[in-house]
Amino acid sequence: MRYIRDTTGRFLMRPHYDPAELDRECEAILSKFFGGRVPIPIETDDLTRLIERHTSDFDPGADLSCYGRDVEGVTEFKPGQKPRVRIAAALADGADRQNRYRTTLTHEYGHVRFHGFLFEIEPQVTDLFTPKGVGAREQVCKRNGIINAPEYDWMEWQAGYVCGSLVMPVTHLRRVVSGYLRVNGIFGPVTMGSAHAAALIEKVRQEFQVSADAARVRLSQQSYLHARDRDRSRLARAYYGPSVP
Amino acid sequence: MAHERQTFGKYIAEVRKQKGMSQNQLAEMIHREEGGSISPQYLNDIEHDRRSPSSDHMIQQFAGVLKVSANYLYYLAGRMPAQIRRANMPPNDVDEWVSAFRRTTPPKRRG
Repeated sequence: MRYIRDTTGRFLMRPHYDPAELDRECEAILSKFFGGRVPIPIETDDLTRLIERHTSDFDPGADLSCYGRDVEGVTEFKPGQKPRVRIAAALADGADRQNRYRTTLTHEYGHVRFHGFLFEIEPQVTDLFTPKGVGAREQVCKRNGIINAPEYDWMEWQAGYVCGSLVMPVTHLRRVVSGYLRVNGIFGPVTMGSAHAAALIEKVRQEFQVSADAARVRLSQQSYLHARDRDRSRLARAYYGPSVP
Repeated sequence: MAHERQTFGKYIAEVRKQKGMSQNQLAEMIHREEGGSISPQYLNDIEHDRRSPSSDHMIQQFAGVLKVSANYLYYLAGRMPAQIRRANMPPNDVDEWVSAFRRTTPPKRRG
């Protein structure tokens, strides 16, 4: 990890992690928590016990409607205290939303473990236009950023990466993927949208008890899935304009 | 720093965590009078003081499972145990009972 300038203006400096570093950290966290061997899939109960160890209060039945309709998790940082985490009641209550509950829970855990210290060591940057203390110490997490936030929103991106890294630890993911590739005689990454991609996503989904979306994002982050050439050029044109081939 | 007031919910959550139990595990062990366990959501509401334990039976269950004083739980829940209520005590006897309770419950340190 190294410190770089925080261009969002929230802090003067912010931590930058390489994805491999986050994977190592997450495996160490799990291994310490379980005292060695990590059971796969990790049970939701174990994830809640993990987050409860590092929070002053964990409330999986919170009413977050005051933050807006699509907010599913909030982490509140208080100097001198462990953070407080609240998750929208609809996630823990709904049997059909267990995967979303697991990813939201681990996403908030990402904020607790990897961002909590920032609120202890450095006062947040405030300016004339930002009323001091108004919502400044809360990280409000919306549904569409839980597993795959844009990189410029570094706090959300890191928490999203940690979420995938905790429920699909890298060593176990490698074992599952290499098993699939070996059995099917595949060398190298699988093309997104192909039958093999769908089968691999399904395998990861079942092994780790995650949603297909979470499995797809994690496999892409680890470069096991790659976009089709025509999709890549379409994305490049959308990003750079028509002059790019 | 002022001490936060202890509540029934906070105390239950504190002891549960000390014992390394999850909400699911504790909820499964707390049985309603009419049978069946309480739900983890209900337990979460109790721990966050959004709901109160619905009966003396439930308070006794919490005390038994978590191995804590039932009298203290009755006190935190703002209730007197059933045998005290049934005894139809005069005010002096109630005062005496409360004083005896205070003597056996060490005051929380302030700091």
